[in-house]
Amino acid sequence: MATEIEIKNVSFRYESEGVTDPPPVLDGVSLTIKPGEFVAVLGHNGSGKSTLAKHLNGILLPSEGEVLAGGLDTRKEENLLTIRQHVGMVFQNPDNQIVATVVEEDVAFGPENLGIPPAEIRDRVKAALEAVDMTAYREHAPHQLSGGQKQRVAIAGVLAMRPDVIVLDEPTAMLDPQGRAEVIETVKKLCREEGLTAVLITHYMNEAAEADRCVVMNDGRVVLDGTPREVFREVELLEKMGLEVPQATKLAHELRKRGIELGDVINVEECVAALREQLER
Amino acid sequence: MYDLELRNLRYEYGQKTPFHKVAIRDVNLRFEEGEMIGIIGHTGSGKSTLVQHLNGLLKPTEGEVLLGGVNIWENAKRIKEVRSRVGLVFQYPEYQLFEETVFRDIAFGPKNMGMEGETLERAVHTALDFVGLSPELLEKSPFELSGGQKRRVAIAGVIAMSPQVLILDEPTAGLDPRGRDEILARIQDYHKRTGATVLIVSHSMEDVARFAGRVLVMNHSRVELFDTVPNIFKRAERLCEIGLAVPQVTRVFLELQKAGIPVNPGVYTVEDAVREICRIREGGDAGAQ
Repeated sequence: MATEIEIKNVSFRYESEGVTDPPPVLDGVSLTIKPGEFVAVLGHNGSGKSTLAKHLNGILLPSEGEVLAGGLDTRKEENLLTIRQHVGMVFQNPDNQIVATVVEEDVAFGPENLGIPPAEIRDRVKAALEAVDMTAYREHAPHQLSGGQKQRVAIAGVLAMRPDVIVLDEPTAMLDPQGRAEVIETVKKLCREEGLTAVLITHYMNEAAEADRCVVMNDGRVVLDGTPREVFREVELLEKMGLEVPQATKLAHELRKRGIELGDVINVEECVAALREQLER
Repeated sequence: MYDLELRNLRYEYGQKTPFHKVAIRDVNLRFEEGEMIGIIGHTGSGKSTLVQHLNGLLKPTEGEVLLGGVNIWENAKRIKEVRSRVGLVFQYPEYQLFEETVFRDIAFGPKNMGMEGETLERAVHTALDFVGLSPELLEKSPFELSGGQKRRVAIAGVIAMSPQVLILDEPTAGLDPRGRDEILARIQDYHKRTGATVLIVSHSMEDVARFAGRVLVMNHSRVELFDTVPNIFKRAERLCEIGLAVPQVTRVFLELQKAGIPVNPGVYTVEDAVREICRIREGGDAGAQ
């Protein structure tokens, strides 16, 4: 299965009583997310990035424009069940997403609701826990897990529904550095090995550096869209929008101003390699 | 005097159950009045357990907590007074707002301390000002506010008690860079204007390097290091070993050092890194601080 997501000229306003013409949270956004892509959507709080994420499986519906998931319009109620089986979501707070008292029962919750036969549920749970590397914890109680582990269980719960797109809305915001790294590694692996499409909403630029493509949102619009290398080049623009490039990128940028050229560096490894070349000469 | 001292502190929980754990052991520390301290350590290292001892939320299994030279448990009836002198802001404090209006939420702590009337009114307004929120919000429901505003209301609720020691457990968790800078600037401002001792628990070495005078590193229930920021970063390799996320430039410089390039590995800001690279290119002396 390959689900392409097309966002066509989408605007969105939160309607509230007594407010006429509220300001748009999304303002004419157009994007196509290709099957198998790992896309990071960046932006500061209030930039519209989470609102955009909630449009991808019809949790929110566009005020104007349309969102097509696998060709299905999210505004048509009869499409929603199918769309949500293909486009799964993981949220910020791991504690709000876990419903059962045993890890494997939690992962089975989604497929059970889809009416999947028990034998197949067992296979799906097993595969999902393997994919997020949590098999060893299948009989544990979720409250005994670390934040990163809980988030991986939440991802497994989505995987057990066999989606082809997984949307992660700031999945690492509440985690410690180790938990953050675990979740990002898991997402990368799912894209590379299982061929899933991943849309990662984040304000951590070093996480976006791991993606194939970076989309930067500001004031409800797409401001930048390209590979991390292309996007990270815009150091000044990103800082103006309240984002921070990784220190390695910033260092290369500052050295360039002083006539030392490291190239477009996006992570520690590249920075070290470029500096060695400069300093060992 | 509001210096804090910990003597031979030990905390155990779940005694006589399979979950028995020693969360803190052999802790001997002294925080001077008016210091700005960063507390860092990975999840489970004991840092949150430690700060909960400082205002008597947890009672040590062994050892003492001294506030201004007096053991806070000497007279258990006075522990409430300790809690107003040592204010603690929990992780994700915005989940703990519960009152009908912002005013009543901020007023809850000082009211319990016996403040009322105009004094209470003034305390609430001053606290609101410290966290940079407009008085127009006072009559709103806290649940109408944005996440960042809610967090500031929660911090104001502790500041309204004018604590002489302010402790914040990960006050910037989940915020974007702008929100993080804003909160840290407000806390620094409180520190400067009141002379209070401030302790901030954080996962981010980069943040800690920016605000703290001294840094306490916790590891496996013990104090691993307690020193000034530059001295802590001189031990960057050790910080990596115990699983802390050191700044990217620190990792870059550790790698360069391993490759035999004579750099000072204690670099933790981009500015220092630029200076150090330029110095080496020009053939200066290595390792100078």
